[in-house]
Amino acid sequence: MKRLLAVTARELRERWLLFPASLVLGLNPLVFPAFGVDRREMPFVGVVAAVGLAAAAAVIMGSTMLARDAANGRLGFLFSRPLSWRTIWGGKWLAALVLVAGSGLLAAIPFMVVYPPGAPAGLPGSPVPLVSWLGVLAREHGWVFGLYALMLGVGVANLLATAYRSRSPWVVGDMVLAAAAVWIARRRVAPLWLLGGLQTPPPDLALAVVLLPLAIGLLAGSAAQVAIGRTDPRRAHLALSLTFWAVVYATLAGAAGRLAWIEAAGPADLRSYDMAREANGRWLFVAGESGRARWFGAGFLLDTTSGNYLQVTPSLSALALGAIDDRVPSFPQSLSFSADGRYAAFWEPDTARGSTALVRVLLSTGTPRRERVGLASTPPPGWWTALALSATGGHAVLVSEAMASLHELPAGRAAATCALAPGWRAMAIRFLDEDAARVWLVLRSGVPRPTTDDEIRILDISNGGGCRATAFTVPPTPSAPARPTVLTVDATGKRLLTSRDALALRDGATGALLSTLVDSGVMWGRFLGDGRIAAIAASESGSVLRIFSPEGRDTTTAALEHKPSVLGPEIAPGRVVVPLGWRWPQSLGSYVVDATDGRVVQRFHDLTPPLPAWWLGDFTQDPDLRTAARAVYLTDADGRLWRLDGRTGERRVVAGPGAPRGRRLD
Amino acid sequence: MSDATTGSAIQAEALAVRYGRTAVLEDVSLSVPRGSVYALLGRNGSGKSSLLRVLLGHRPPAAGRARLLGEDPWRRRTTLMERVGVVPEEPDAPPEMTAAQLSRFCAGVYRHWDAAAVAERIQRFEVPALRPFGSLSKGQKGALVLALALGHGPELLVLDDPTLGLDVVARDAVFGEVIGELADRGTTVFVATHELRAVEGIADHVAILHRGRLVLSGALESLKAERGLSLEQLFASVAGSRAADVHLAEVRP
Repeated sequence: MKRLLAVTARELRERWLLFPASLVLGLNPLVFPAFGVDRREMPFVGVVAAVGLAAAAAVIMGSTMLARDAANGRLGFLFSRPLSWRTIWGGKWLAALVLVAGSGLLAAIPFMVVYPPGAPAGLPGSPVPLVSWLGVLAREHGWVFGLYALMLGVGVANLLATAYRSRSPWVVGDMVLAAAAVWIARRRVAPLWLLGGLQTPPPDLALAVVLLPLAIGLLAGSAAQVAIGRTDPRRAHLALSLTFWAVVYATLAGAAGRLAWIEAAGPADLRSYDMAREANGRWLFVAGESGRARWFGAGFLLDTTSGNYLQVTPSLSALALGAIDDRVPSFPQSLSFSADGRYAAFWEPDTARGSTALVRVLLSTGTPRRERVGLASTPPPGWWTALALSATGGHAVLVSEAMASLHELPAGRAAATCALAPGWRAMAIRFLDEDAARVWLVLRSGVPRPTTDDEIRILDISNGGGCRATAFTVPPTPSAPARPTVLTVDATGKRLLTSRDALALRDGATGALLSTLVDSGVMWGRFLGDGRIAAIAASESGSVLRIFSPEGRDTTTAALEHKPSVLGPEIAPGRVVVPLGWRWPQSLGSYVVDATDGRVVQRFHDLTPPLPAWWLGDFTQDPDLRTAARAVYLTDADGRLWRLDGRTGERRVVAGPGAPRGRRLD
Repeated sequence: MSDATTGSAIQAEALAVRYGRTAVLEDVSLSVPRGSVYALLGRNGSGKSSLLRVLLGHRPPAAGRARLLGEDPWRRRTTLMERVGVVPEEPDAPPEMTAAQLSRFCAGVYRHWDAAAVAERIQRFEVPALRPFGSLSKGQKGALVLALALGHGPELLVLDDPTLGLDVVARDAVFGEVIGELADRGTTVFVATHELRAVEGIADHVAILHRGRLVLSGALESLKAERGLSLEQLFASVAGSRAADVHLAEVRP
């Protein structure tokens, strides 16, 4: 220790002038107000000065402590003494710590003593400003980031200075390795970060965790520089470089491995929250958060008979830093089945062409066959891209950021293309015919609305007929003026329900009001398979289930046991599921009501229907329950998706924890 | 008996040093008897400094084996430096430290440090004790580094061209007074130098490096007697006689 302190003292002696200079600079915030500068700006000025000074000290120390001494032949003085490499390395790093932290603190103390911190919300105040500042540093993990900044600042300066002063051809290797590391980090680490795969118990320390390997690499590299390189600048550079890159690449390999593990999630890893089924009952689209990463939304086309599956999740390699938010969704937003159950389709980014590609999966064969079709002249997909397949799967409608297009499959040729005004997105799509579709559009959330009326636009797009657009408005009710409109479209696309506190039946083609079913207090409405309409609404005594004829005539009103906010799916002709609550993942149970007489015919004490996320939109028609396979899908509190066979009563998990781990069919 | 206590102070066996693909030393073997004054001679670029770096544990050999006082200098450098004094070719002390500060620094890192003897030598060499090292003349720097190298009473003193750039008076101080005095006390002195004339009077063993290979080594008087040549002639016969080597030309009659 005595020798280590001797080395430290020598390093500090060389640079001692930095301490009084820091103190003098630190006094500036106390002097500036005398010249008319606003006192309220002084804490900021002080922080900037202290951080700037500490950063400068880190660069000075890092660039001189080893690299300069080796290049100038001065390290020989230490290596010719009975000083181990650990003593030399430790003494120099300790000096760096003292110098950088000391100069930063000396610059900070004067204004910390005089000015209180900028009082971030929720922080405890103190009559003594310095105590408040220390409180801020402690609560916001300021000391952790300070230590990191110090290590990174000194370490990076040492790395660069060593590379520069060594004049070694290996510098080219450094550059290549650095470029490759940035590329890998962008492709394989950034997605982990964005998906929440790097969670730490205090979330604000996640950055510290990410930077830890870098700090370790720099520290270990400088240790190798001293231990192996000793007085030879080139050898020192090579030792530093190889050690640093070994740590960096080992970390990148670890991160890439973790990302691959996350990407390899199967249906058994899901916490399911969204589901769609095809008419034949064999295939299921199920999507949800993966248990392997907090925000990794995985989607699968699942064969319920075998547990085998196709992954529908967009490639995570596209999810790099700078390509998030509105441009590349991290999980499938839209999957559509053809009404005959032969095809499923979803979109993917076509990065080569900068457009959208459609993946159509033939489900009618033993092993599903997928074909990728580039959709000509389409923009790249985004969060609000919507896709729907025609009844036979021979056409597809794609609604993107600024256009809607009808495509022939499998060619992908655009049969019709319509421009859309900015800010609109598809809420529902129905094929009226094999090559004619209708799209209902609403303004995206966050887009300013000119009036309190909600405007809905209807776009008819067809092969040969081009585009035909119309619009209507849904006024608010006095009791819920800010509530957004929810659209529900029937299987044919000819009728429409708008729910905005009041429930209205409208013409699907024009939006013209056919009947106001409920004046206010409506929570949810939906069409039943036979054309009737079911709705839940508030009543004086609680909630009621109301059933209307296809023309809008009130036929049945039944009191509900609770106050549900949504209405579940129709699971058998004329029978709807009413969830007791929908606070996923806490399943509260549900019960089945007969729409004809309002009678409860079945209860599920621990299961709830996996309700579709209404904000995503409605792009697949429900199967015709008169002919479709009789199966009910329900979720439990742990995110499992259960399949209840309507004929045999068999109950089994198909997705989520405990589901069979089937084979990936890609 | 082991080399640690008896036998050779320095031993090299088939030593090789390479910088990348460039070989600067090949198959060098030598043995420095304890208590001897051993001069390693060679022209510029012959590999003297590279050999010293390996012997002092500043880099490992590419091949072969080096022993300093019986121990591996690459692995045991720290403990060896308690017993070895080093005077480098370029004085390398921190420029902001004065002679007194440097002596205090060394006192903190050596187990035994004779501060009085160091102060006496500094005074004898007329080095200003309170002037920063960086502002001393080259001769003063060399003298100060030599004084520091002797402060812990080393068993072995290694000097790498210590008189390079020094005037005649300073050269005589190094070779005549110090090395002679140390040799009398039984300290092994290993000096790499160009100064054939200066070492001839004090060295009892010589080795000549030429283009990375040891071309001659042995007891100086024996070599001279065997071949009937002076040291300068010996050197010229094995290392060439091109007049480009200023130092060699300097010692020719």
